[in-house]
Amino acid sequence: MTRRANTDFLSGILGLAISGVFWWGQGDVGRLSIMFPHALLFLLATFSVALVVKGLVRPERRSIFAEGDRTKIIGTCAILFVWVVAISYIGFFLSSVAGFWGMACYLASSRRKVTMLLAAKLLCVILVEVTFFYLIFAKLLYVPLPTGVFFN
Amino acid sequence: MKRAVILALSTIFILSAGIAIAEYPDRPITYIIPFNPGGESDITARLQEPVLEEVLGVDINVTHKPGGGGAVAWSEFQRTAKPDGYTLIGVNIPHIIGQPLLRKDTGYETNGFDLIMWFHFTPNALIVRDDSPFKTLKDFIDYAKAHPKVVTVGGSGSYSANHLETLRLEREAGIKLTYIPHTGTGPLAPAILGGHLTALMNYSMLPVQLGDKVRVLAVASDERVETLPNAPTFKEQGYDIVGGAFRGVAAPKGTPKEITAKLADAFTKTNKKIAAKQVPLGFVMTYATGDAAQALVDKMRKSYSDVIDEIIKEREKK
Amino acid sequence: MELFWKVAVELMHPFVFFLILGGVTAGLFVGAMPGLTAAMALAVLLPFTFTLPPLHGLVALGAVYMGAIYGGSFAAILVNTPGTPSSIATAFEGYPMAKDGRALEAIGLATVSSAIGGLAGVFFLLVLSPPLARLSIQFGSAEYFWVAMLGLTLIASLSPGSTLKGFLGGSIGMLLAAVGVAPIGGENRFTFGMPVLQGGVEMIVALIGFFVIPELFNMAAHGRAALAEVTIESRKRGTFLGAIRTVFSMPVNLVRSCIIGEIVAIIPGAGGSIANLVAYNEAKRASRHPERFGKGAVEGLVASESSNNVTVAGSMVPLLTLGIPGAPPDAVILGVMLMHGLRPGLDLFTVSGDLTYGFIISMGLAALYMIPVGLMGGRLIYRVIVKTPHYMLVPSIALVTILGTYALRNSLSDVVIMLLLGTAGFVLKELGVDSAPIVLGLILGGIAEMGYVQTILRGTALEHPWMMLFQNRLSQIIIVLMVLSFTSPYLSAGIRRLKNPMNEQRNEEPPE
Repeated sequence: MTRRANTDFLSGILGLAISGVFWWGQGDVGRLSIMFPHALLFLLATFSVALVVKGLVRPERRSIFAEGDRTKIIGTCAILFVWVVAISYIGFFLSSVAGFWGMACYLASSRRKVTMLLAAKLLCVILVEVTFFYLIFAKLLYVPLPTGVFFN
Repeated sequence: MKRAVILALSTIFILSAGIAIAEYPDRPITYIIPFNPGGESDITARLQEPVLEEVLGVDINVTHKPGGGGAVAWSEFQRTAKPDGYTLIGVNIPHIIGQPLLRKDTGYETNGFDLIMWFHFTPNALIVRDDSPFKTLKDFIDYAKAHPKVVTVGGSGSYSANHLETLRLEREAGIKLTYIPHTGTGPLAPAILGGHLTALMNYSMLPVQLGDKVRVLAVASDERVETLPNAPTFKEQGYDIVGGAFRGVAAPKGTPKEITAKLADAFTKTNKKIAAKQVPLGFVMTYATGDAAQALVDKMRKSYSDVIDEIIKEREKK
Repeated sequence: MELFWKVAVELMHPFVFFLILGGVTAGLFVGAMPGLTAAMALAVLLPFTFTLPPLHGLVALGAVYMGAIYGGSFAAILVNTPGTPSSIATAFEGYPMAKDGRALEAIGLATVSSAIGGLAGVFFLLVLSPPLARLSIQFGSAEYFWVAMLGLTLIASLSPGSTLKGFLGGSIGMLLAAVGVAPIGGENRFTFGMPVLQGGVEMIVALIGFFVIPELFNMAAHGRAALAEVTIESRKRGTFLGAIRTVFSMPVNLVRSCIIGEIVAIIPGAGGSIANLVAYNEAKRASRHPERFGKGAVEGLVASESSNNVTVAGSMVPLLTLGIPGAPPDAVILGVMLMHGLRPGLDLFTVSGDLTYGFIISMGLAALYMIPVGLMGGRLIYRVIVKTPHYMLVPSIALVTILGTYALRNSLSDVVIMLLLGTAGFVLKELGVDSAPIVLGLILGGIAEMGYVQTILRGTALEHPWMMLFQNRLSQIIIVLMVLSFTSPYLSAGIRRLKNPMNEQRNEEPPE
């Protein structure tokens, strides 16, 4: 299923929405701090309006979100967010192993059936890989990776 | 029977707490620097690291958490750091005084730390290019009086030590300058050397670095700085202006006194050792620990209060 | 002259040789990983250099820096994500080449271009330091503003299709740059009550978010990685000799890119991230086939990778002569120098001459050593990536970018911001708003604001403060360049149309 959408119009509306959000969040600040952002908001609004107008007058219809399996995008995005949020709760190592494994199995399922054997094999490789990077960053580079609220 | 159990348990409890404190430190300590690597706070910490490790007998992990002029790290520290002596953070005056007063949503409070020590002080200095027509502070002030707002003074940051000192100079001398903030000390050097600004109000390290290319009209310290022997102080020239950036270290509020005392002792020893490297660069060592540390914060807050109040008043007008 | 030989002998010492080699390799690895930058690598190396004598410490830093700026091209070519901001433009041409099965060719070209750029930078540093240093301090706040504006005109050429959408993206980028503490005025803007946003949106975080995440989503959607197998022909062109042949077949492009790299390098604070984009744009403007750009135009790749490596040694001109860092990693090098008691200025070249020249020449050697390391390493990395199934590649990249983004400021919030921006970037891309203008806006927004507000403040005493923006000769020159850069696509299209009234709508469409 492809969609043909008026991308000019949509991007214009999105631009206006963004300027609205930023305008609302500008904070109660003095003239010097806000003069430049005001100019930027004005520019953004202008370009957005121009796009909306173009979208109404001479629209360019494009197919958006058309390529490939779109559910995989949503799934990957969700897994990524869960992965990152989990880091603050169960620490970097565990969430990365879990997130990596979850994503690998999820993505692999589009081409082939993910058997228990495959999942197990992947898990082994993943453990090695995550450990490798963990050691480099935490031990060699002394980056203090989060150990998770749960464990503290 | 019950009483005996309670007595036994409480003794064990107190003893173990005591042992924990007596054994401090027994694991690595994290030392957070709220600025980017390569800066003065970072270099200081790096110099301190080996000595501290020797004195305390554990590893010191220096980590950086830059952002918002230190505010990001300080707000997270006050929110999440445990008061067990294993997490420390670098602190700076006047940042921790000015930011919560002059910014909304900084996320931390000036008095929300258990201060351990202030180790050094980099006094502010009024600097001009070597070919500038101003040979003394008096020349500078006379000209500024005759030409309000024409004289441009560059400094690092807004409402920072440099900025507040410039405002204080304006008040004391009755002149009107135009302060131009810059992101850090880095951009100030080309700005003054290229003639884009009349003067700089920055720290005493910069003229040490730039050598003959600049002239220091005045230094904001009680006595002349060793590395700038030809630079008179503001005091000598009749203006009671003493200020600059102080750097120190703090623990989370509520850290046991024994631990902070041990740390204060360790940092004092460290400070003495690294003085040999830091003084030639333009730092003025200080040794304010414990109550003296808090007193310093209060004193600086008081001395900047008139300037800060004025800023707030100006803001409300708009 | 005898100083030169004395230094050369010292640098041939086996320990130094391995130090440079090791430094370049480490730098390459760091640069190739999205999320790790040259400045970070130097910061991490800092404590280790304390244990080394001054020359060795500086040599190590220089080698890592040179390697890192080069290494960024690998990620750019193979995964469409610039490993460092200095390789943004490399991705524009390198990745399409990789998709076409020309990955090894791209790597070979990037390697040779980077080496030549690195050597050019060393040359400029050795020979032209004094006049370049004088030029560098001519840049004041007004000039910074106009340079930022000049940079922003690149948006027009970076948005094939819709210039309007490009500027939309650019303004969004500039607004993102405004989040946090105002550089002038010191108050919090756009922080929505969250103290953590005081730190603003870090450029690398946005870079990764806008370039890596959408690419990961694409790979997930397509169910395979995008790289095609390399053809024999392309493999031949990717060898050392093949690459040399190609690079030297475009001398004008090469020389121009190196000069651009040097000029940007000496502007304090501006480094490879800006140089590669400007050089790329100029290569496109001067090209006889601009329509090939974006699909694997070799000229663009060469321009980007040569100019960014020039900035390694080039940005040290103001550093060594005046103590002014020309690019962010230089601040770390300055710190090391001061710690060892080395004061920038004339003394550095006379009293500490052997140290200084040793350091400078070591960077030239690093540029040369990059060639074998890079060609072999590149081939290795390519093979690894091609053999990895997409369902392992995507999470691997995710892992590295999470680590890299976190390591930047030790902040998990940065990782969250990265994901949010990435998702938004993906949506915007689908709507036709490309990532490059957004990132460019982010990079330049801060510079533009500082320059603008500072200049206005400096002009307080004038009747019309904004006149300060136009006062200096240098500002005026930059303004002229800016106008030329902006209008030339339209002008050249117009001229072409005049010449060929019959072939109007054939191949070239003027940018819209």
